[in-house]
Amino acid sequence: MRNSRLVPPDVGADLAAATITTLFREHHGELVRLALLMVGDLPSAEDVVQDVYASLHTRWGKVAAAESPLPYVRAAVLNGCRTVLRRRGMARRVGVVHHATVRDEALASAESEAILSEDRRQVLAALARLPRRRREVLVLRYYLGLSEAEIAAVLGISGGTVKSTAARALAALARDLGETS
Amino acid sequence: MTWTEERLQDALHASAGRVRDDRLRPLPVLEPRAEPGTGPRAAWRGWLVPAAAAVGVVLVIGLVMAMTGGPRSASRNGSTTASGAPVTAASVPRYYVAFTGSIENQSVAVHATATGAVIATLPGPKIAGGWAIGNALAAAPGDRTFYAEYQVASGVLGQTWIYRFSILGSGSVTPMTRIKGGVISDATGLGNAADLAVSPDGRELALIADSTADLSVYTTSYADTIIVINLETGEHSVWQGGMARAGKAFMIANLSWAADGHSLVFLALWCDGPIGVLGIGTICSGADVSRGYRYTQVWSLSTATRGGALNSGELLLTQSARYPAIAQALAGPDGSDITAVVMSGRAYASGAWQNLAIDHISAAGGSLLGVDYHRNNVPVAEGVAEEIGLTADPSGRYVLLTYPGPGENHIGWIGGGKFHPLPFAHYDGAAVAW
Repeated sequence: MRNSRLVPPDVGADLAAATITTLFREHHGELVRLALLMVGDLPSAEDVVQDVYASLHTRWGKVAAAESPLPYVRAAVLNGCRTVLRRRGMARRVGVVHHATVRDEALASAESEAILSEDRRQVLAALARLPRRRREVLVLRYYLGLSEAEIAAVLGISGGTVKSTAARALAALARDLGETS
Repeated sequence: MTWTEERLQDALHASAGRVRDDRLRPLPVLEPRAEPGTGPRAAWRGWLVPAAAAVGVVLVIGLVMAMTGGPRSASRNGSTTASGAPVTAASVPRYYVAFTGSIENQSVAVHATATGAVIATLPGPKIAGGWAIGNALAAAPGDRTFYAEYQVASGVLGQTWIYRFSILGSGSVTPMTRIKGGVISDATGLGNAADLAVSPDGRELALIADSTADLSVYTTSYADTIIVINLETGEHSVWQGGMARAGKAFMIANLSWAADGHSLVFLALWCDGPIGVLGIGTICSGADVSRGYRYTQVWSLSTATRGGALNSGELLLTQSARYPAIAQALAGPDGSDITAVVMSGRAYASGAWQNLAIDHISAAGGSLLGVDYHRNNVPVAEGVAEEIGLTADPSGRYVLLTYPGPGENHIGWIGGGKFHPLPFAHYDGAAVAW
């Protein structure tokens, strides 16, 4: 079996690896938090980001071709989150408890409980009940503070769709929370 | 901004604010460019089905073990130790790694703790015309990244090479990559004396090294150096010397990080030289070890000094009537304690002792804080101090005990005062970490 570890890497590959590594180091926390808000537990969020990081090493050309790598990476993280949520949905349907769900209970520590007030938990629960696209738009807008154009770039949709999706999502959230306009 | 928007923004930031950057699992170290079809994704696809099956079995067995597991502390007087929450099957690290394969081709097997199933096997370095033997393994905080130390030689030149690999979220495992600063020249075969330990912040790696190129079976200078590698820069800090005693052989038998990450804890061992390098364990020579000279001390070294003499640190514990033979010693989980394998009772001519205990000892004064595990009337074949191993996860809470037996070796974790065998198909005594 060929042992690639003993073969000196070429300069281009080194540069790609260094660029990806720098990007992830600078945005590691942000990406994990984004994933956490989508999947709900830290171990799964870290798994998603690590998987994206690993997968980008094998297709750096695609990332490099993007105008700005960060939206591409954010999109990849959201895509990874969708996969996790899809797997959980399938597991629930066949009656298997996902191990991350088991760990969720452990993670619902006293510290987390103290930090998240009842009101915040209600808001997050209502957010979790929104359709996936609406939830993503709201998290990108109100957590990362992205503009409509930036959200459009991450999700691969038009600015107009971002605007209408955000409006509908906020209205649904307000209804779910029992707010009156 | 509407009230809904304000509430949403507040809730999102509060939820995300629970994540601390300094506690995030480190990113895995990856090859610069994976070949098509050989990358982590491809590997993941390859064993998706068995991995999924393993996860299912892990869940079932984990739940059953969790229901039957008890509290860790089982002190002699019935009190509890100060080591925090109970250690149960559900709380121990999810993976352990072990060297496997022939001596010329030692791979690292990644096992699921609950079942013992091998979820990946990583080939070791291939040396043209030479060999690479696995010396030691260590886990980084987070239960996902591991380090492997190999003794490599081509001709007469011996070196130690250190590699790193990670288990990704999907369960795939990255290839081993040699770390920056991971080549140590003029190293001899450390064998079971090798020890690796990752700092609590995951940024430094400490190892036992050797100042001599003496490859003879018996030596009086062996495993007498500590090196700390800065994993970001590759820079080495070296501690050596200051422990010599006339006519005695000296070696470092254990190495670990204190919980605060500012100091190292090591077990210093002197005996009637020379020290036997080969075989299981590294033993003081001579058949009658019990009546020969064997002396141990536990020391701590501040890493802020960035090198120096081994005796520049602080003496924490010495062998005494209370602790007749300290077989192994690691920094404890609380930062002010030591976890030690202490042998006591009758000493036999073979070097075996009658009783074995894993004691929790105060690093300030040496008082006994509690007993995690004890076993009286140990069979002679299983009670030789130099052949007993103790290793811990990076937190120091989850310890693995190894000891030889007639015809087989044993390895297990300690919880609820009991020894829980790791589900190995066959444990051959190779280095293990979790």
